[in-house]
Amino acid sequence: MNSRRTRSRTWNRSKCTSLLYQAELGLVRPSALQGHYLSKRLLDLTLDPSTTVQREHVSAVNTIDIEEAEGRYLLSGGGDGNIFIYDLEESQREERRVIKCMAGADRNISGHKGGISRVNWYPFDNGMFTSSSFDSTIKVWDTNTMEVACTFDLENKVYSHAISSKATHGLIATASSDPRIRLCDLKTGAFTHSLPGHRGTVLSVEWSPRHEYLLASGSTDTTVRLWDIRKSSSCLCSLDLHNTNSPPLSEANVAHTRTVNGLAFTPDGLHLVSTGHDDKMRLWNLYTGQNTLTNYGTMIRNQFVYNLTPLISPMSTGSPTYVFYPSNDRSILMYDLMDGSLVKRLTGSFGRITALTWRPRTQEIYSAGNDHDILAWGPKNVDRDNALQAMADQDTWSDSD
Amino acid sequence: MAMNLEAREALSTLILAITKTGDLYLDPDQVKQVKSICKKSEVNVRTAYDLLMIQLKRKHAQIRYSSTQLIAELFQRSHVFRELLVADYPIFLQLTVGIHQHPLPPPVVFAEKTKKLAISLTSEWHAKYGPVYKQIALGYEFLRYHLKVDFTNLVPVTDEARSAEQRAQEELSRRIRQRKYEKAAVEIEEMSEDIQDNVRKMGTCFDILVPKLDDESALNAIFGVPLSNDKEQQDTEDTEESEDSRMETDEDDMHDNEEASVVAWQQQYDPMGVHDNALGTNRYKLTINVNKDNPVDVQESEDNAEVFTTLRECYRLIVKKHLPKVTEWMDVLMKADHEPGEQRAEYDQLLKKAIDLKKGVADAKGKSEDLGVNMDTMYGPYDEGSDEDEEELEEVEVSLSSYPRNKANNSNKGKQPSINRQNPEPKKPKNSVFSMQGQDIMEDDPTYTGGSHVTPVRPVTRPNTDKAKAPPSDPAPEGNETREELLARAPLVPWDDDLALWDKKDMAFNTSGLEYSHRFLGVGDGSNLVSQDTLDRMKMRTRIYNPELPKEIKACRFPMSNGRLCMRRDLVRCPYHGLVVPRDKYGQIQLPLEEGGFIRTGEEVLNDEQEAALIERAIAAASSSGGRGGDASSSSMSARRPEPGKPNSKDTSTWEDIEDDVHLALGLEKIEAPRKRSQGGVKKKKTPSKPPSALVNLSKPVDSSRTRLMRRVASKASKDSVTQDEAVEKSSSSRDARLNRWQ
Repeated sequence: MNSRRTRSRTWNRSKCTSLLYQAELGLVRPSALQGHYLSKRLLDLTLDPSTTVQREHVSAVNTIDIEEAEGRYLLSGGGDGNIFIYDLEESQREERRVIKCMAGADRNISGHKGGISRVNWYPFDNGMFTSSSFDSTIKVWDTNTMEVACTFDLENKVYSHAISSKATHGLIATASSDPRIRLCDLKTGAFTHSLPGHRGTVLSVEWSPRHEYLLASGSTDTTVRLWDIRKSSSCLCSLDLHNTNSPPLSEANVAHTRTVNGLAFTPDGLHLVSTGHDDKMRLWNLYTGQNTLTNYGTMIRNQFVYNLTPLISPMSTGSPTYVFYPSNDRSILMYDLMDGSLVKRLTGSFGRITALTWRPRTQEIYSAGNDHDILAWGPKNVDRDNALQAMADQDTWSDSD
Repeated sequence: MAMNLEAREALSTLILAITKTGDLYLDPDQVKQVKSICKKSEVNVRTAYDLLMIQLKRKHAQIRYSSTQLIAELFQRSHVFRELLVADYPIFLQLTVGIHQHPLPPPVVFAEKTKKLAISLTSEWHAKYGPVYKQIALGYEFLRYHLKVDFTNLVPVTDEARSAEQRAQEELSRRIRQRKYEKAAVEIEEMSEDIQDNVRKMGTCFDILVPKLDDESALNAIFGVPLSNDKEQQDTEDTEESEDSRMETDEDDMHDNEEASVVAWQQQYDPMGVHDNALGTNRYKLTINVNKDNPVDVQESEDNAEVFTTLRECYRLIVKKHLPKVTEWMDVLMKADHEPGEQRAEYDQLLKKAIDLKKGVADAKGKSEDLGVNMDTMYGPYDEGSDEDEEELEEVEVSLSSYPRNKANNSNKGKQPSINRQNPEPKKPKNSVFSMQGQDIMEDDPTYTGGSHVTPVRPVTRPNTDKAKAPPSDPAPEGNETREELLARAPLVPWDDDLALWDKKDMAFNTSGLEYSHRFLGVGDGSNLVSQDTLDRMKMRTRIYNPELPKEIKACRFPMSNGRLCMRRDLVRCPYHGLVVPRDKYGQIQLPLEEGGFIRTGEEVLNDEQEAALIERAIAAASSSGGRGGDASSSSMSARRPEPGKPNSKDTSTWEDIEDDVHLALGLEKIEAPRKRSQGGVKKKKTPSKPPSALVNLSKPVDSSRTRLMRRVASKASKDSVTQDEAVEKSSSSRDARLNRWQ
């Protein structure tokens, strides 16, 4: 396993240099070069020894998000009801990077009364973000003043919410202990839709990055449902684990054998990944609505009633796409999305990892753990050459041994 | 690859050995071996890491502690090992510190040690590798932030630190030694006077009691006065060399006496030694047996009782107080550090003094013991003030080993027994007629209270009624040979009332002649005799049947349809599968023994007659093994209890035993039964010669106060009594309630 990995790495490297040359000659597209570099860096991913995110939360960090506009600000929400924003570019050039908190919303009068379940940046602008909490509210925040701009009260524990990164409709889909999925309109500050269909608590909800009106949701009733919010009978189908030819909304269709608590669309919107308490991860083809039957093995551990979203790396031609799964055994499992093979197991966290987020520009992953910490996982910096590393790399066998 | 396997083998045995010892510190040689193997290649390091993690995961704190120490050694050395450990750092901390709700396994002491070691290692590694290995930094932070571990005052674990610790220990013990030495010096100064006084006093006593050969008057006293036992007196002169030897009558006799004056005197006046041996010529040979056990035979009499009392007091003082003290001083002085200079001189002086004292004390002790003064005979016959009880107590403590010596003395001296209390009687069995040899059986009898009611059969011939003082009754007077023989032939039965009547043909009752009929013995038929019927009944005895239940009841082990073996434990017969017979591990019936212990039962179906016969036989076997003399009443008693099942002696004769016997007879090796756990078997075989590991056996239940209490409280008997009490209480309360209803 290990030797294979090293071989593939050397192969990658030689291929990269030759690719560089080919790109120079114009024989290959720049995107191929980019893809190979991305792939290489992803394979080198490890706990970044030089980066420390300052600890601010006094309880588990439940959710983190990095804004897409600049890829600079990290938003974190904790079980203590606090929300903090970190500037990731602070001291970027320094040897030992300490990422400090730049702003925070404490549990003040306008803030959340309960633990934060999910924070999301507004996809188009980092001047606004939304947060959902177990105190049954969803709040919209103004980043500059760190004040609540708008509050939606759902009267039920909110487990997750999602804003479409594609659509112009500005609707927040919510997943709460109410079986109905309610859509909150940012423009009016009111609920626009209520999507009935689930029979249990909805734990996860995601917008498709490809079709602006396509919504996916997973629930404790073991189903994953796809919705078109424009239709009056909005539920398109309930995904079926066994790929039987039953009608799309058949009661018999289940996506997992137990609670579904995580959903993630691939960046191209063609596939959907779902995770459940049956310790399985499933990949669905959204074109056919069928289970691809990809086998991700038995390493996955998932047992908490909680939104647990896997992270999918950006797709690029010429390199495989990876999916990162925050397993309950305090490790991050890195799978090849399409063939389901376990590529790497990232260990080192001392807490259960609750959320992952991707920083596109530097190919870094940030993870939130229930040990109150946020960890940075970056590609191993092979160029870094300092005395400490040299010392650590040295064997110190004494002659007498 | 072959090389690799070899290294792997070596590593695995080494690591197993190191971690299984359970010692506090690792064996440096073995650690060195591990390191030298690991040094050879990275693959070996990986192997070592895997093996160590396996050991670390064992649920035994001692194994984990040793593994952690070895991990620390390798972590220091190998880069590959560091990489590997760092990747699993959370697991490492889980197993050694007990984070993430993974409490460390017992024993608690070692769990605590492991935890401390891991914490200090983490702190050490954090300082050294923290910037490079993020996981260690995270672990450090985790411990500090979540476990609130205080890293400020940790005991470092490096070798220097360990040696410093040892140095401190040595320093401490040196200081303790010094203090002891000083104390001893002061004590010697203080007490030497006392001891010397005491020894001097004893010396005076010896002088009084034992005449010296150079003492003219004493010699005159000896030779001038005709003594009844001249020989003994001579023995006295040959004192302290207590060697039993034959001495010739001439000069050799004198040879042993160091007293030159005596020799001179002898040569001057008595060249032939006439005075000595009362023989005019030295052609005769005279053999003198020196009594080894009692070389100095000074009898305690009223005249010297006072001296003996003093001697005893001194002796007690010496044994109880001075001798231990002097020995302790010697110990302390021997262990004390020798420092040059003045102190050295002082030390030498002290040592000399202590040695002198010890010699004196030992001398005095030995001498007084030769005189028969020892801890067993702290009270002489003429001691006043020691009351009767105490005396009795002392008498009882006399050991039986003094008996032969006493006998020899007695036979030597003829008739002068037992004035000296140091030669008392050995204890005789209390009842010589029935000799109570069945007493151990009787103990089981709940109605038996002991032999206290037995009266001495033989009247004491001596006027002093003290039993202990009585001389040993001669075991075999002449003319009793036949009785001896009879006794040898006589059946041995426990004591009971019927023994008084067993040979009576008839028994008269009420010899007073006042009454015609007897209240208990019934109305006679005119002849004042107990009726034959009653007499017969009186000759019977009650026997309490004490069934010997098998200690372990075997399981039925009938192969059931689900592939398992029947787990029911019954004495004779499983209600589902019939008779319980020995079966092998597959539940197949084993061959029956020729003794007829088991009937070969192909099927479980047994008709009732067969079964009844079998039970009968089992009962008979049980009762015959239960005790001898099973007469009619006993068998009828036992018949009431159909419980006694298979005699357990037969259960043990399994196939393996037979096989072993055969192999033993053929001189072959014993076949080891295959063990269920192969690993355990291997372990056993591998380490027979090794010293036993210091690992604490965790499978053994802990003997804490709580478990002891639980054993007592949760025992069936106590539970039963509680339920009984409850029942009684309930019934009484309900009775009370019923009573109250009428009020």
